[in-house]
Amino acid sequence: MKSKDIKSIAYAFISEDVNVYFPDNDEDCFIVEKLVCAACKAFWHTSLNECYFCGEINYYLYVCTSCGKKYSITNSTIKCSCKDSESKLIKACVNKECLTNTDDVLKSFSITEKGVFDLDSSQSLSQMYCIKCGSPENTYRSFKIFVFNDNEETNFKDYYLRINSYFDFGDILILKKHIDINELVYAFITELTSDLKIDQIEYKYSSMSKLIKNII
Amino acid sequence: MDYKNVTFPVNVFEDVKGEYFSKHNKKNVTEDFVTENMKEMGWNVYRPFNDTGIDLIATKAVCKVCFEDLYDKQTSAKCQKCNSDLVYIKRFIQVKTREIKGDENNSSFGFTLKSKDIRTDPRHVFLLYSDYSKDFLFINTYEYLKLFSENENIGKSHFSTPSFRKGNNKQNSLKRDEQNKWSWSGISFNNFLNEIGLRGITNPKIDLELGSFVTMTQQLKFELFYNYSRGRNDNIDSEKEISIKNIILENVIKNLSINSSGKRNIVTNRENSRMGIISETTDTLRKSIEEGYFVKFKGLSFNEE
Repeated sequence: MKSKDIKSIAYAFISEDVNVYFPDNDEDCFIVEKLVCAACKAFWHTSLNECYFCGEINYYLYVCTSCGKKYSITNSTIKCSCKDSESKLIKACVNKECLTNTDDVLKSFSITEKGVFDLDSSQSLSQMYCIKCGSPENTYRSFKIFVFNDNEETNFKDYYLRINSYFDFGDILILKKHIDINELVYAFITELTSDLKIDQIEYKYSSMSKLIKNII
Repeated sequence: MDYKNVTFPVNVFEDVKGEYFSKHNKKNVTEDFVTENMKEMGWNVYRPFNDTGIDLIATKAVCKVCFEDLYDKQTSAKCQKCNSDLVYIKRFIQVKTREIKGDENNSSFGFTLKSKDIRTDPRHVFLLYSDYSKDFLFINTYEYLKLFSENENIGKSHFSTPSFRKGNNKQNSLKRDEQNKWSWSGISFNNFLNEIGLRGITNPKIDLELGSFVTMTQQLKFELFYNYSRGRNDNIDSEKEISIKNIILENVIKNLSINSSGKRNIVTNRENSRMGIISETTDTLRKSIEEGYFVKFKGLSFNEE
C-alpha cells in the first residue's frame, strides 16, 4: 500500500491527464509519463483522430452532404433542414479543401463510409501533427516524483538517505505542507543534496495543479 | 565481446501453468510474468496506476560499452567492469500476449496494432509474448517501422491498406516453426527474440541520440502511413489510386512547410477550419462539443489562440 501522501499527489497528476506508474519494488516514489509534442511539449492525444487525406482534426459533427450545414452528433435521427432528397448527414472532414470534399470519386467513397470520422471509416488516423505547432514528432516526457511532507517528516537528512540512491537526473522532489488545516502549499526541487535547507524553501504554489503545469 | 549465457525468459511462476488462464483472466498474470522476468535481469519496473495504454515502464542504468551483458547490475556511478559512463535508460512497454495458433510445426501469432500505437518515440517497445512457447519478442517502434520500410512485400500489406486505418487490423503473418524460428513473410524476427531481443532494447544508443531517432521514426511512420492504397471494395481504379497517392504526398509536404506567418501550413489550415466552424455553428453546439468531446484532449478548444 502506498502512503496516502504519495497517492494523493499521484491523483493530482492523473487529474491533469498525466499518467502515473508505481514501482514494483520498495522505492518511495512514482513515475509520471505523458506523450507530448517533441517540439513545443503540447499534449499529444492518441485518441484524437485526423483526416487521412488532409490532416484536419475530428470536430465531432454531422455535415449535410448537400448543403454543408453542421449538426451535433448526439442526435442521430435528425434530417437536414435543406430537405434535399440526396441529403445525408455524415461525419465528414470539415476542411472544405479536403479531397473528400473536392474530388468526386473520394467524396462519393467518403459518403459510402458515412464520413471520414465514422467509427468504421478507413479515412482517419490517430493524431499525426501537433495540435499547437503542427510538428509531426512526439516523445515521452517522463520522470520520477518524490514527495516530502514537511509537516510529517521532520528529518530531511533521513529522507535524503532513503531516496538518494534512486533519485536520478531529471527527477523531481515535491515538498508539501499545511499552512493551516485547509490550506496546502507546494514547492519542488530538481537537485537533491544532503544539506538542503528545507526551512528556506519558498513554497510558491498554492495548488498541485499549478505546480504540475510548471513541470510537465 | 563474450557474455555469460542467459536463459531468458524463465518460468517465474512455477506453481501455476499458463494454460490454466483464459484470455479473460490472463492479462494481469502475463504482465506480471514480464515484470518479474525484467526484474531478474536487473530492470526496475513500474506498473500503471491508471489506464494509460502502456503496460509497464522499465528502467535500468547500463554501461555505454558493455550494456549487452544482461546480468550486469550497475550500482555505482561508473561501470564496475570498464569504468565507462552509465546511461539511465527507460522503455515504455506495450505487451501483446497471445496463444499461438496452429500445430507445433507451423503456428502463427495473431496481434493487432492500430495507428494510435505507433508513436515516434523509439523508446516505445512492443513486447509480443507467446505464452504457449514462453517466447518474448521485443521490438521498438523505430525497428518495427524500419523492418516494414525495408521489406516492401510486408510493408505494403501492413500499413498502406485501408485495413490499417479501419477495424482491428489483425495481423496473422508472424509465424513460429518447429525450430523456434520466428518470421514474417520470410523475414526473420529472431533478432527480436528472448535474450537477443532484450539486448536490442538495452542498447542506450537511442537514449543518447533520442532527438535523431525520434525524427527517423517519424519519417518512417509518414512514409509507411501515407503510402496510400485503395481497398478491395473501393470504386477507385489504379490510375486514380496513383493520382490520390501523389496528392496525399504533396499535402504532407505542404502541411509540414512553414508559411509566411511563420507557422506550419497544417496549423494555418486548421485555424481556417476552426474559424469556419465558429461562423457556421451556434454557441450551444460548440459548447456541447467542448464539454462532450474536447474535454478529453487538453489544449484543444474553439477558443484557442
